[in-house]
Amino acid sequence: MGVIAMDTATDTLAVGAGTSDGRLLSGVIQRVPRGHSRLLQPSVQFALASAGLAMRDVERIVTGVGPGSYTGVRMAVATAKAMGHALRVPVVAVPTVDAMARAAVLAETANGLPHRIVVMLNARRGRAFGACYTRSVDERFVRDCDIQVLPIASWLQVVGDGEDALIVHDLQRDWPMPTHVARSLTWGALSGLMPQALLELGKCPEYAVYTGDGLHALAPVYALLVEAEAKWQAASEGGST
Amino acid sequence: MNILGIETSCDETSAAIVQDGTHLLAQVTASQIDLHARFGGVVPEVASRQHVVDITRVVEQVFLDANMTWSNIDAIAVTCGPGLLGSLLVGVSAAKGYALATGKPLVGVHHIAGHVAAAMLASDGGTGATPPFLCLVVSGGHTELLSVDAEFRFTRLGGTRDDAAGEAYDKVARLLGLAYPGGPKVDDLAHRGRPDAFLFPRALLEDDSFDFSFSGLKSAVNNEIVKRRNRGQAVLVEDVCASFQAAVIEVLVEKTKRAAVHTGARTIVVAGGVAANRGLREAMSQLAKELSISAMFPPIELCTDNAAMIAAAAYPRAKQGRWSPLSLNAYAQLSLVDWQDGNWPDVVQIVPNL
Ligand SMILES: [Zn+2]
Repeated sequence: MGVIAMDTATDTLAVGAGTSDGRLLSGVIQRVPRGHSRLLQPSVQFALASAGLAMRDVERIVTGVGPGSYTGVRMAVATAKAMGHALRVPVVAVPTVDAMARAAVLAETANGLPHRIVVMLNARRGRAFGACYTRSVDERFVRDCDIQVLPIASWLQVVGDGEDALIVHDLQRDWPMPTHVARSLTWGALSGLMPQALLELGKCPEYAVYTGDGLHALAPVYALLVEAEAKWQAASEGGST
Repeated sequence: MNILGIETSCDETSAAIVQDGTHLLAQVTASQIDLHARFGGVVPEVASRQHVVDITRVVEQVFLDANMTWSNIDAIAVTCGPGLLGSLLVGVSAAKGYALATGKPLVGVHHIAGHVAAAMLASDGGTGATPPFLCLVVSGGHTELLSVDAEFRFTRLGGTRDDAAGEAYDKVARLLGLAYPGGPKVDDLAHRGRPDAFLFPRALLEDDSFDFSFSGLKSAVNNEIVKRRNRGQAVLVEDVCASFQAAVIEVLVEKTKRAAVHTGARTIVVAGGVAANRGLREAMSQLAKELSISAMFPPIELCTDNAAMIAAAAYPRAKQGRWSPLSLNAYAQLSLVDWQDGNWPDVVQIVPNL
């Protein structure tokens, strides 16, 4: 029995086909600018075939739900919803930043794991979508803040003094990383591990599973209001007080 | 052959099942008009977000309404452009997800081909239009004169050089302070006003051109309103609407007449959102009578964006087995001719260097 995983919220299109217990059989990574829309479904088809799985073997779909590129994140969510709907199988919603942190853990296990991981995804205008993770006693990483948009400078402050932290980011220009930070890794260096990270998180009970009529409610995590909505809200609040 | 159509190019999430390109079996459309009304127009990001929520719901409901399952479906059709890119991508992604999961073949459909095909759907017990015909497409985004041959292939005779006719309606509605969406309100008010109250310009361009221009007309309406308000004179909204509509319709009818004579068409089809306009329907019927040919319009409810028209437009291609690959993309801009010839704007042809 098989599982399909996909994410389109970062500059890396990540697709995986694997087993129900989270083992990756075939992964596809493509970093083609503006290529996600064309390449997503052919990549899913290719990953399944490579893994020796037929469509009728698929018993669960895992999708990254962002936040990230607005237009990008919707491609995987819309595709996963349609596939889950047609195949009548559950769809698991995994925040993209959680899967990025998991990819970092997979990469760094051999180097010794840090105490904290901070993930930042460019949200333009000096801001980043992000989240922080702290290592627990059982060596798992637990998200200890809301997934949100903050100025990059604020995210860097979040990395407390003297902490043994790892920063994972896709920021274009060099930001001065705090001196005590153990490492900072670009997403480009890690994104090859995204298919496996998605498959592993997709079997974790803490993630929402959308199934049956509940599937229709599945939507991306945007973490940002639409500008027009923010203005409209500000205006209507201003008018009522 | 039953085709499931999906349309998400603007602010309607629509799914439909159409048999043999002519018989609408079921259609479900989630409209976002209320969602965008507070912004005074469609906000693309808001529209895209809502499409993601509604897309599987409308597909679920259309199967229930048609009392069908995937085993009854032969192909999936989806609008791939032109339109709002973020909105189109939701429909295209979902359609490709459905195609991949079910193994059903896919047809990417040009939105304007869809508006034209709306007139080919049977309604009220009668049959729809059968190509060849001459077609005038008038909507918020498009004003085009097309010659459609028996194979449902298009030749573009002309189109707008600036504003689309529907866009001019919306802009005039805004000038008059009518609430969004204002275009249909202008049509209603026009019927209560005097079409000769103001003489607005008719841009007929060169004698041999089938192109349109509506930006001058919109400016003339604006100038008239400003002039009257500055003089403290009342602006009778009904008269402005009637005079504006008379100018638009006269231009549309004159250009269509020239094209009909030029092509020797036996049938004129008027499609697109503005084809619901009563004044335009009356004037085109009159023109057809004058030329001793026939005029056909899609049913009113199929003039605005809908998935039935997309499924109908896909049928001639599906019949020939001209399927789209799973790498089908969405395009904000897409010419009818490029779509027809399969010249996708971003597909790199890899030619082996032998
Ligand atoms: Zn349209």
